[in-house]
Amino acid sequence: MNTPERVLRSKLHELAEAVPIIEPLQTVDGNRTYADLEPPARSPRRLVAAVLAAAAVALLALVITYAHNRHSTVTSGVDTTDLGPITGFPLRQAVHVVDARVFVVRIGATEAIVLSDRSPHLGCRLVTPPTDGPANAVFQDQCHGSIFDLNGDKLSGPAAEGMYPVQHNVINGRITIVRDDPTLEQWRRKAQQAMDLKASASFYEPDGTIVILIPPAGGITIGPALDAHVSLNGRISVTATASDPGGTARAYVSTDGSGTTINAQYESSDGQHTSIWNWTSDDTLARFTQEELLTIARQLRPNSD
Amino acid sequence: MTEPQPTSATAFTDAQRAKLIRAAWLIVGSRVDAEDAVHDAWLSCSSHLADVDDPDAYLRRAVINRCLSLLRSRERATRAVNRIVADDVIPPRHLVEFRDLIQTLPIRQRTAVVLRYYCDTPDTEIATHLGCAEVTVRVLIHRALRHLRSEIEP
Repeated sequence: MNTPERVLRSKLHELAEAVPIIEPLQTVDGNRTYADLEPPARSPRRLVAAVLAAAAVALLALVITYAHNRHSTVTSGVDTTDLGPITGFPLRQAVHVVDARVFVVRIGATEAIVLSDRSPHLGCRLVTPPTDGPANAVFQDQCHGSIFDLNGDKLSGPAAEGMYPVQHNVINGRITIVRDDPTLEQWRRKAQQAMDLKASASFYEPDGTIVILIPPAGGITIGPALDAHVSLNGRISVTATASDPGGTARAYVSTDGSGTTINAQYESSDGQHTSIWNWTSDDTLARFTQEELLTIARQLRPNSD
Repeated sequence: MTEPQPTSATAFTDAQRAKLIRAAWLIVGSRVDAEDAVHDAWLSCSSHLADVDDPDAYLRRAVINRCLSLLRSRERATRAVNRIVADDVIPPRHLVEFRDLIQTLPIRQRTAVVLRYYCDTPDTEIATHLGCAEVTVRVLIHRALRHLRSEIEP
């Protein structure tokens, strides 16, 4: 008799726990800002929304790229590439096999470590040897500076985890990598397209709606920014979608002056694959300083009440 | 409006704030809207909270009012367009369907359910918030439970 109510109660509590509670933005002198917002002045909302939307577009391109890179590790199907005889690789040294986009480190007569040459952080290319880092540093993320050792374990930088291992076999003395996605190359091409895409967006506002258009040649069209919002505690957020023939990404980008969060979901057109990312960075979108953000928040405070 | 700093008697604790934001999120389904409802309610109530009998209930009422008016205006605004709620809260996998089901409840039913089962609000207070009789609250909840039964009955 009582059970459904008890289940409902516990599920509601568990669900509500999913809501992250952020501290109200602190001003330089440590006061909470939502308590001292001033009466509004009109107008910069459009500009801010446009800037943020542009940032969202750029980030979406990254997200979709990342989606494609990540995708290859979750789908099913088998694709193998022969890397040649294992004796051709020097012992305990990283060798970049550019065509296969992997690093191979031979660690024994019949054993090797095979690692993806893309950073687990945002999919940038990794290089070896690194330009700086500790003595055991071997790989470096060109774009964001994460550093990894010979086993692909993270030593420093923004990456959340170590380099992605690539499944492989050593048969009759030859290394074969096994990729678990037959459409890998296709994903990669699209990813590259997204990377190459110049995020030049144009805006217009019929009825106050923000629409972002990307020149169609890139193969990815970014839809309207669904929502741009300035919260009373100073957080600015933009929601946008992007789609390509492979699927659709929806990203929620928010910044509070001390960092940026992106929550994105990518769903393939056939509905078979869904991936979710949460990404946090200390960089702020469009490089807002806390003070600028505060000014914006003050100016954008709704007039009502 | 004149005295934004919380006095010690009516300090808005972090736990209170978190609870209210989460309750508001369960009702409106969007984190930014939930945060705004709570901050906005606090902004307009903080100066006279010390004068009311039950500050908790008073603040809750202010938040619920904002949630309800937001939902009503959202309903009006989205009639022509696809209903898209921008939200960044990602629930645990096993609760996604439950979340969706909660969000399909009619507004008043959802509010009643959240108040009773999440905020442990007595039915008399829920009736005041929703502007209806206490017996109506029980009816709303009864209907909501029936709607949710696929998720809450073993």
